[in-house]
Amino acid sequence: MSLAPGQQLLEVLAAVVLVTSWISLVHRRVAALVRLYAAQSAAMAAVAGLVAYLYNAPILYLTGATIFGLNAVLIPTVLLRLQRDLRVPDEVNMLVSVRTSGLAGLGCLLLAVAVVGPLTPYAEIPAAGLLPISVTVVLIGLFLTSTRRKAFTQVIGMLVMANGVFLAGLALTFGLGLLLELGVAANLLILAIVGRLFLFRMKDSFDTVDADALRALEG
Amino acid sequence: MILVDLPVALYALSLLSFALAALAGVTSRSASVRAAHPSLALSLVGLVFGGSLAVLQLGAPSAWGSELVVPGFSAAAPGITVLDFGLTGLGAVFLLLLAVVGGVVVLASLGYVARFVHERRGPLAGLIGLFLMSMELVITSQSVFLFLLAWEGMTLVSYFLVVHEHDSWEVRRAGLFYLVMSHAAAAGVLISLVLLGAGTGAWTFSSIAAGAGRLGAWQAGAVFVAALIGFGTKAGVAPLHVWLPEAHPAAPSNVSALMSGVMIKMGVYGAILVPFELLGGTPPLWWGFTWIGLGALSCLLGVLNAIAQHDLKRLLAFHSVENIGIIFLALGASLVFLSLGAPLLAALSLLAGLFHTWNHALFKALLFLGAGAATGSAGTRDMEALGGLARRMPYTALFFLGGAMAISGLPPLNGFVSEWLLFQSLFGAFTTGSLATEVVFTAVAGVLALSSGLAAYCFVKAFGVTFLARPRSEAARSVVREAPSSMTAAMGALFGLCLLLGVAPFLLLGPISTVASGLVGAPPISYSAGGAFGSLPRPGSTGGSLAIGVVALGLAAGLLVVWLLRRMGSGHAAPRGAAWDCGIDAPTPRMEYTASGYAQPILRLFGGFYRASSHLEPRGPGSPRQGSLAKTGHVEVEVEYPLVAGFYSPLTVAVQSLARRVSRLQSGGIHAYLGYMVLTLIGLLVILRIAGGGAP
Amino acid sequence: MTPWEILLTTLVLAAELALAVGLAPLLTSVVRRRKSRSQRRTGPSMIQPYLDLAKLWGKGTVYVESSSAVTRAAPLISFASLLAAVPFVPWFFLPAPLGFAGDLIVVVGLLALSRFMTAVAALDAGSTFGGMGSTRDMWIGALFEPTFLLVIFAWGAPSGSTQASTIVLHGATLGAAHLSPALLLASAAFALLLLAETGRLPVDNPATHLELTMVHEAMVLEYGGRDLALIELGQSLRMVLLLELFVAVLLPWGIALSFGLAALALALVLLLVKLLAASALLGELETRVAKWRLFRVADLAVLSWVLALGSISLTYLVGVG
Repeated sequence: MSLAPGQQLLEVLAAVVLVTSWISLVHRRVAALVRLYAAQSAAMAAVAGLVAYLYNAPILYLTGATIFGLNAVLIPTVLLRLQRDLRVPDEVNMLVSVRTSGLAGLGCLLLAVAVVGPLTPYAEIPAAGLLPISVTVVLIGLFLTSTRRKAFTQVIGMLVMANGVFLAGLALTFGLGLLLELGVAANLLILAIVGRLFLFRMKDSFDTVDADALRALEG
Repeated sequence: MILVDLPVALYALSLLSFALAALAGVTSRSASVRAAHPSLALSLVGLVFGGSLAVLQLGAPSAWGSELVVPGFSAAAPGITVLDFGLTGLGAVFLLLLAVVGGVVVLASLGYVARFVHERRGPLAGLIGLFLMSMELVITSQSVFLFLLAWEGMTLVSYFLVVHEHDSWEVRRAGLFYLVMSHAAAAGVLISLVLLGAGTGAWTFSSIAAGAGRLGAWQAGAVFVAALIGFGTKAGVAPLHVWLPEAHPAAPSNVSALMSGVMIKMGVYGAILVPFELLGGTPPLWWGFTWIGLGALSCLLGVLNAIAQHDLKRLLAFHSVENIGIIFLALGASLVFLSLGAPLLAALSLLAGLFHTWNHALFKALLFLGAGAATGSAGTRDMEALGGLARRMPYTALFFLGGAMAISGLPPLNGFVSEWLLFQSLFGAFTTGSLATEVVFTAVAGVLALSSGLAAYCFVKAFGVTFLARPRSEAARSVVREAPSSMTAAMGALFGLCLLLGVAPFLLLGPISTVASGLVGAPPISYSAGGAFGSLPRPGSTGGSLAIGVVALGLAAGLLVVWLLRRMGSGHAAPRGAAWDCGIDAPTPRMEYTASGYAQPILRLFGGFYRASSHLEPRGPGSPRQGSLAKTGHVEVEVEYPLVAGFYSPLTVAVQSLARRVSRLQSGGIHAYLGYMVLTLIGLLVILRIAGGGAP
Repeated sequence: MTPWEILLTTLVLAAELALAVGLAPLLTSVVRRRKSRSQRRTGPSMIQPYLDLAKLWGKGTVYVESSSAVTRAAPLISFASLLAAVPFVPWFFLPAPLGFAGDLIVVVGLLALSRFMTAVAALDAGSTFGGMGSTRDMWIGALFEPTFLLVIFAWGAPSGSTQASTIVLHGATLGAAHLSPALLLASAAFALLLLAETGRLPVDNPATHLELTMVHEAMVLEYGGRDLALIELGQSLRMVLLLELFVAVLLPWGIALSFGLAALALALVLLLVKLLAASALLGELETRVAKWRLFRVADLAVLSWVLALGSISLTYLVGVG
C-alpha cells in the first residue's frame, strides 16, 4: 500500500492524537496532562489544516487556526495559571491504578474498532479512518473524567473528550465545518470558564478541589 | 506374512511384559531391591516393545526429514481389530512418548525404589508396570467401551501410586482429592463418548469418525464440552487443575515424573482425539476460542501460582498447569484455523501443540526426577531449607538447570523450538484476513511471552534457591552424596533428549508433522531438507524460518572463542574469598535471598491475584517490637487460592451435606435394603413402560 | 549459493561481529558523554570504556568461597549468546548473514538466555545483593518479554514475516510510506523495551553506587577481572544490538543490498551516523528522567504493551480512508 505523503502525514498526526491521550492515561502529573492536551490540540489543528489542503476545503484552515489558538494555546495557558492560582497539587489522584488505566486505554481502542471499525470500508467519507481514533479519544476522555479524583483533572478529561468529538466532526463532516467547529469551540471556552468558576467556588466552599469532597453534601 | 504379524506380536509381547511385571511386583513378598528390579526390568521390556510398535507406525524416523510412509496398522492386523485395538498415527505419537519417558523413569526407579523397600509399603514396582500398561491400553483402544475401561484402570492405578506413602494424612487426603476429581473427569469422558456413540450409532472409533457428520451442531457441541471437561481435568487445564498441585507432591518423585510427564498427556491425547479424529469436519469458531481462553488462563494461573510456591514439587506441579495451557493454546489455535479454512496453519499449530506435549514430557520428567533426587537426599521439599546442593550433587544440579532452561523456552533447548512454532502459527493469523483473530492471536502471543518470561523468573528462583549459594538448614548440610547412578543416568538421558530435540528438532518434527497434517487434512508441511540445519518455514508466505542447528552452532562457536580468550594467559587457579558484606559482618546463609523473598516483586505486582497477606511476629525474649522494627522475627506470607476458596470449597460442602442426607438411606437393616431393591425393580419397570419400547 | 557468495557472506559476518563488539564500548561512551555534556560536566574521555575493559582484562579473579561452577560458566554463556545474536540482526548488509537460520524470535530467545544465566549466577554467591538484583532483573525481563514479541508481530505484519532481513527490506523498498503510524507506535514500544533491557534510566541507573537501588550492578557485584570485563562488554553489546535493531527497522534506508564498494561504504557510514545519533538521544533522555521506583516500571511495561497492541489494531484503522 503506497499512500500519498499527505495522507500518510494525516495518519501520523492521528496517531499522535491517539498516543497523547494514552499517555495522559498513565501520567501522574497534572501539569504534564495540560501540556499533553496542548500537544494533542496542536496535532488536531495540524489535522484540520492538512485535511483542508488535501480535500481542498479552505474553510478548515480557519478551523485549524481556531483550534490552535484556542485549544493548544489559550486553554492550556488558562489551565496552567489556574493550577498555580488554586495551588492544585501536581499529583494526579486516581481511582484505579496506572496499569489498569493503561490497559483501559487499549480497551477503548479495541471497543472503538469493534464498534466503528466495520464502517471504514464504506469510505465515501475521505478521512473515515480517523473515526475509530476519534471514538477512542472520546472514550478515553470519558474514562479520564470518571476515574480521576480532582475536579481539575476531570476538566482535562472533558477537554480530551471534546477533542475526540472534534476529530469525529473533522472526519465526517468537514464539508460543512465551520459552524460546527466554532460551536464546539465556543462550548469549550464556556466549559473552561465554567470550570474555572466552579473550581473557585469549590475551593472557597470546601477548601479543596477534590471532587470526592462533594460526598460530604450527601443527605 | 511376517510383516503383517509383526505389529500384533509386538503389541502382545508388550502387554504380556507389563502383565508379568505387575505380577512379579505384586506377588513378591520379599521386601528387597531384588524383588523390585525384575518387575521394573519387565516393564522396561514392555516399553521397548511398545516403542518399537510406535516407531513402526510412524515409519522409520528420518534425520533428514524425507517423505514418510505411514503403514496402516490397525487395518493390517485383522487378528486384533476384532477386539478393537489398534494404533493410529496420533496414538503412535503418544505411545512413543510413553515408551521414551516411561522407559527413562523406570530406569531411574531402579535406584529410587531402594529408598522404599525397608518401609514395607505397597508394591511400587508392580504398580508402575500396571500403570504403564493401562496407559498403553488407553492409547490403543479403538472402541468406546475399551477406552473407558482402560481410562478407569489408569485412574485407579494412578490413585494407588499417589497414596504410596499412605501413612501420612496429607498424602491420603491428596489421594482422595485426586480420586474424586478423576472420577468427575471420567464422567465427562463417559458422557462425551456415549453421546458420540449414541449419536452415530457406532461404538468403534473408526465407525464413529465415519458417521460423525450425522451429528447435529448441538450434539457435537455437547460432545465437545463434555470431552473438554473430562480430558481437560485429566490434563490439568485451569480451572480444572486443582488436583494437580495436590497429587504431584504427594506421590513419590518417579511417580510424579510419570504422571506429569505422561499421564496428563493422556488428557491431551483425548482432547485431540475427540474433535480432530472422531468429530472431524469444520469445527465452529467457539470451540477453538474456548480452548484458547482456557489455555491462556492456565498459562498465567499456573505460572503465577508456581512463583508463589516454596515447595519444590508443588512449584513443578503448577508449571504443568502452565505448560498444559500452552498446549491447549496451540490446539485451540489449530481449531480456529480449521474453522477459518486455513488447514496448513491448523497443521502447524497442531504440530506445535504435539511437539510441546513431547517437550513438556521430557523436561518435566527431568525436573521431577531432579527434584526427587534433591529433596529426597535432604529429606525436605521446602526450598527455604535447601540450598548449596550444586557442589554436593553436581550432576543433578547440571541436569536440573538444563531442564529449567528448557521449560523457560531458552535456546538451544527443545522448549524454545515448540514456543517458536507456536509463535509462528499465531503470527499466521495475519494471513487469515480476520481482524478479530489477528488481535486475539497477537494478544495470545503476548500472554505466551509473559508466561514464558515468568517461567524463567520462577526457574531462576527454583534452581538458584535449591542448588546454589550455601545450605540454609541442617537438612541441606547433611546431603553429602550424589543421587544414585541410575537416577543421574536417567536425568542425563532426558537432558540429552531435550538438547537433541532443541538442536535437531526435525528428528521428531518429521514424523509428527505427517500425523498433524493428516489429522487436519492439510498437505504435508514442507521444510527444506538439510538435517539438523533444515529450516521450517511458515506456510502461506515467506514467514519466518528457523534452523536452530545453526543457532546452536553459533552459540557453541561463541562459547568456545570466549572460553579460550578467558583462559589465555591466566594460568593459575582463581583464589576464593568471601562475598561482599557491606563491611558489616561475614554473610551467613540467613542473609541469602529466600524463595519467598525472590517471589516478592511478582507477589506484589499481582497482588490482586494472590491476595497475599504477610504477618510479622517478633520473636524471642528481649526483642520487643519498636514501631515497625523488630530485632528478630518471623515473617509469614500467605497466599490465597481464590478458585479453591470461592468455588471448590463451597462445592465440597454442598456435596457433603447432600451425602449426609443420602446416607440416611443406609439404615443397616436388611429389610430396608430389600425394600430398596423392590422399589428399584418397580422403578425400572415403570421406566420401561413409559419408554414404551419393549413390552413383548 | 556460489562459493564466491559464501565467502562474501562469511566476510560480512566477520566484519559485523567485529563491528558490533568494537563499537559497543564506543556507544556506551557516547551516551555518557552526551549525559555529562547536558549536565555541564566534562565527563570521562571517549575511550574510557576501552581502557576500563583493558584494565579489567589484566586483573585476576576472585570467586566467592561457596560458589559453584555456575559462577564461572555464566559470564561465558551470557556473552556468547549475545554474540550469537549479532548475525541475526541486519547491520550494513542485507540479508543478514545468518538471516536464513533464524528470525527475531531467536534474538528474543538469545537475549533471554543471556539474562537467565546472569540472574542464576547472581544467586550463587549467596549474598543478599545478588538475590536482590537477580529477582529485579528477571522481574523486569518477564514484564518486557511480551513487549518484544508484540513489537515483532507489529513490525512483521506488513511484510508477513518475522525475519529481520525481510522486515528491513520491505521497509527500505517502501520509501517514506514505511513510516506508518503503526510502525511508529511499535517502535515507541520498542524504545521503552530498549530502556528496560539495557538497564537505562528510568528503569535502572547504570551509574549508581548504592547497592540497594541497583538492579544490574547488584547482580554482578561479586564478579571481577575478565569475567567482569565480559559482563560489561556484554551489557554494551546488548545495547548496541538493540539500538541497531531499532534504527534498522525504523530507518532502513541506506543499508547495502548488493556487494559494491560504494554501497557498502555508504551503508557503513549511515550505520555509524544512525547509531551515534541514537545513543546521543539515549544520553539526552537519561539526563531528563530520574530513576523510577521499581514498581512504577510495571506501568512502563503496560504502556509498552498498549503501544504495541495498539499498533497492531491501528494497522487496520487508518490507511483505508
